[in-house]
Amino acid sequence: MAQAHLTREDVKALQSTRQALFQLSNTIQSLKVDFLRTSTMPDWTTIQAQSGVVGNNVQSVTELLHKHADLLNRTVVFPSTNFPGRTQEGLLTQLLRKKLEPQVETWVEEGRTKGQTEETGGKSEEEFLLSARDWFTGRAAKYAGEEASLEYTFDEIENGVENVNTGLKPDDVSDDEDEEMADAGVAPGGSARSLEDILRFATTGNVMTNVSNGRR
Amino acid sequence: MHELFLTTQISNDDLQRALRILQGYCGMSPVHILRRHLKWEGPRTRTPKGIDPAFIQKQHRDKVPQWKALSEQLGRQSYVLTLIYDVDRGQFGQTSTQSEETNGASQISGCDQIPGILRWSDLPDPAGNRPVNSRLIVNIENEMGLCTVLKSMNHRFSNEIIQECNRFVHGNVIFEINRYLQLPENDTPSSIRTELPPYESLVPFDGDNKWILTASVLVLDGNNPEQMQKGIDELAAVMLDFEGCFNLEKRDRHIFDTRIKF
Repeated sequence: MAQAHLTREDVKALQSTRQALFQLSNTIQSLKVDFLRTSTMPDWTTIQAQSGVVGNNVQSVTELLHKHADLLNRTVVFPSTNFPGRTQEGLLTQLLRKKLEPQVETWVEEGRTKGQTEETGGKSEEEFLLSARDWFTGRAAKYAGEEASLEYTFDEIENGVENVNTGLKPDDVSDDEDEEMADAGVAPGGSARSLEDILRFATTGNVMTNVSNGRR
Repeated sequence: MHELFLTTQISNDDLQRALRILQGYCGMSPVHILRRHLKWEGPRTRTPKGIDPAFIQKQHRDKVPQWKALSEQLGRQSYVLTLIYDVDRGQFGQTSTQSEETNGASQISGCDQIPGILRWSDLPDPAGNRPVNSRLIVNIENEMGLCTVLKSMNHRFSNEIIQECNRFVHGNVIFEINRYLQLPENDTPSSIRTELPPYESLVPFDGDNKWILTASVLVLDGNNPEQMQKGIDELAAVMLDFEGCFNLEKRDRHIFDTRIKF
């Protein structure tokens, strides 16, 4: 094959681009295989990790293409006379073809329009945020109104709340001191007093009757 | 000294829960305190005399300013004063022979033999837009013979209350969950008991057996706006922390009126 006007750097650039494309196609392939191999979906964390790798590969490819844009634009395939044209016809036509294949062309079109809408509007994202906000407002109101006061989770309610250990009720671990505090001095009788009356009593020791309850 | 405070009530059913919440918040176990509160009423006169200057001069010099401050207040107006004595459960229901042996003959000497706290608190200040109650207080601690002192100041013993208290401290804020117990009727209501009745015979003042939660901060110099603001801020932060849990509130100041009216 002719190497006529390609410098050592140019070859290096082409090599690294090829390497990046090779890696990209490999990762896409392994992602595909993961989906096909088992009947169940792979774990979502695996998918997320793999698509992250694909994304990185795409990024390094585009970076390389951008970096070597000048070289790639002016480099053309020029088969030498000794290329086995008859046996390798398929590869030869693929290499010599200047236009994209029809299927690839539609992909490229799609990609371009997508990129454009995102650049110009970003509208879909805004719509997403708006709809998310609407949903959350309603849900938060429902939570505050109906669910916030619930003392147990839905799971706990479903499984019966008797066995839930909240750490607040000392039913099982009866602290001696607590019991002592609880039953001591509770003689029956006596009328209920308001907070104000109790505080007044604690302050002055006087039991205010309703009549003498006036201020000065 | 100024006391800033907020109060709310806790039903007896919620007591354990409240104790645990405060235990978590303050990072400490509650300190159980039992105290006798002896209430003394000042003379019913428009021209009270205050405290004898000769008596004040005899006091320990560290406490002279407190006695002077108290005298200044009592010279203008008669108040209800409180003597506070720590007691423990074992002292309830003891037979009189024991206490008489240790205390001697005089009826009031029982309390005079042990150190107590003399506490005076003013009618709380008009709140204005302050979010907390604040009042001037004088606490003279660790004094012997306070009953005799109050008698010589023409104060009259009026009532006795037992305070059952669980105390927590968080930063400068003191939390107390209190209930107040009444002693059963006495043969001679005007004299101070030499012995305490069995604990089980005490009756909670409130028939529902509610507890009172108080969050308070002591401010050394109430005339220093910076100190006051710092105290108010700390208490307001506590109020906010417990919003929806304990309804800590500033109350009508006239509830805490200690002035003698006649």
